[in-house]
Amino acid sequence: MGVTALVSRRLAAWAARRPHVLLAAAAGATAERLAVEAEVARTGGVLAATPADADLLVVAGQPGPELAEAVERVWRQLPGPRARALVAQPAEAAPALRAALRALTGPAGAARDDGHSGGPAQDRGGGGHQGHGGMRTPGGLMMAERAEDRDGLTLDVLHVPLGPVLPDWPAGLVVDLTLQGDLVQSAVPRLLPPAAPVAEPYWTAGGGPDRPRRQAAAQLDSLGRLWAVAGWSSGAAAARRLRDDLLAGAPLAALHAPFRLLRRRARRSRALRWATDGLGVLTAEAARAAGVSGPAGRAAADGGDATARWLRWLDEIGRLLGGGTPPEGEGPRGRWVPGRPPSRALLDVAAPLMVGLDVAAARLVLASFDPDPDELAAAVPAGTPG
Amino acid sequence: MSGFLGALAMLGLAGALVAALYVVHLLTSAGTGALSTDAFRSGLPPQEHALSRFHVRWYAVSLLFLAFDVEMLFMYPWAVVVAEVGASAVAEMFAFLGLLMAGVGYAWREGALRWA
Repeated sequence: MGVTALVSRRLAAWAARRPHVLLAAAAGATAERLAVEAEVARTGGVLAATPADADLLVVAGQPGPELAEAVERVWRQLPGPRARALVAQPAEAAPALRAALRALTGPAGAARDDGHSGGPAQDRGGGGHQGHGGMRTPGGLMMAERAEDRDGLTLDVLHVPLGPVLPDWPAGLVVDLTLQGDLVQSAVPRLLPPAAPVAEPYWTAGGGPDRPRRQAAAQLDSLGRLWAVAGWSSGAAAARRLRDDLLAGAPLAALHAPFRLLRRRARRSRALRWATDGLGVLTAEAARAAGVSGPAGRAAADGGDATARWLRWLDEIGRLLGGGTPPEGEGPRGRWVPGRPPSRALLDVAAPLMVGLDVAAARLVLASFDPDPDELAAAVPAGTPG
Repeated sequence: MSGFLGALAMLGLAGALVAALYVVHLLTSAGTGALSTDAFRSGLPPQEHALSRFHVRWYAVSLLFLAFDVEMLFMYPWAVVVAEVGASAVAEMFAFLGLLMAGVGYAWREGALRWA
């Protein structure tokens, strides 16, 4: 077994040079998430899309009970060798990731976690293993029930949640989808609250001279998420690099050239327009009625679809990088009405617009509004229903 | 006799290769049994079994597929004789393909390929 152990250790060390990191962020942990993303990029890692693809599970922020349970479930789905890290403060990102990487390769004298050996997680709440008529169902799960769909067909009703542990997705947000034949029949959003209420959303914190910079970075963050969901990973990576440079305090003049290049690539990309044209159209009247302000509200004037929204983000980032200031009293998602953050309005209009689309398009619609869970979590103690 | 020898040698080689695979598995595998795990549902438990009925729209797609599948069936014998028969065979086959394409165009116009 000596040879096997050696080969296994060599393989683990080789794989750990490019760790695949699954990031589970709690609401209100934007600073921690950004620190982890930057650290993963710095160490040559990649963000994994699913637990099957991941070596490391990194939890950013302080998850509440339901999110912690979801994280445990995802952890059970990670194949070995695996390691996990908790990043509760932005400064902990680098040491926590280093420690997790060491655990991944199995340091001298310490056992490596090669994962569990078989058996799906038994946490289905006592569903039992007996199906209808005493027939055993695999894994104790029932077949889907049937119901009429909007076209008058009797189809299976599937309940598929989006979030909370999902890449390029607002942290801690869950949208419970009801699917019939690939089409979303209903979408109900809810937020998994963090362990402690969010004092101040990251993107609107720290006013003063840094405000335009922070706001542009917030919109670059949104763009990165939308483009990653749309499948334009190089554009998403460029937007995130610009975001990190902005937050690190790089001089604005140095960012003009890469931003203009990115904007030109985005505007000229026909594939990107095909992906987002005509999706989630929010008319100007509907935006006014729902109290949507900010870029999404202004985009309603020129078409109101997902394309109009990302074009508007690009315009506003360009203006902010050119030395402009954001409108007074307005955050990256819009204006705060007491007890009702702008992200609440965004989520309220986004969820109904997801209905009637297929899952991929529904994800694009939500990403094009990009409600900020920090604002939603901060609003909960102020008396707004979560 | 030499024919049997060759077959036997091949059989022995195949058997040795399969045995070697088993030995490699014995030496290197992380676990003995198959690893089973839940489906990834963004961290929430699945509520229904993954086995479910297809949307009725897939049947329209499968009919479209069948049209082209059967067309290929006709093209095999055609390909054997097309060199002998010449231009008239080519013209006939493309007229047939054109008819099928008209069917696809009709289904497209009627929205059979529209999803949402």
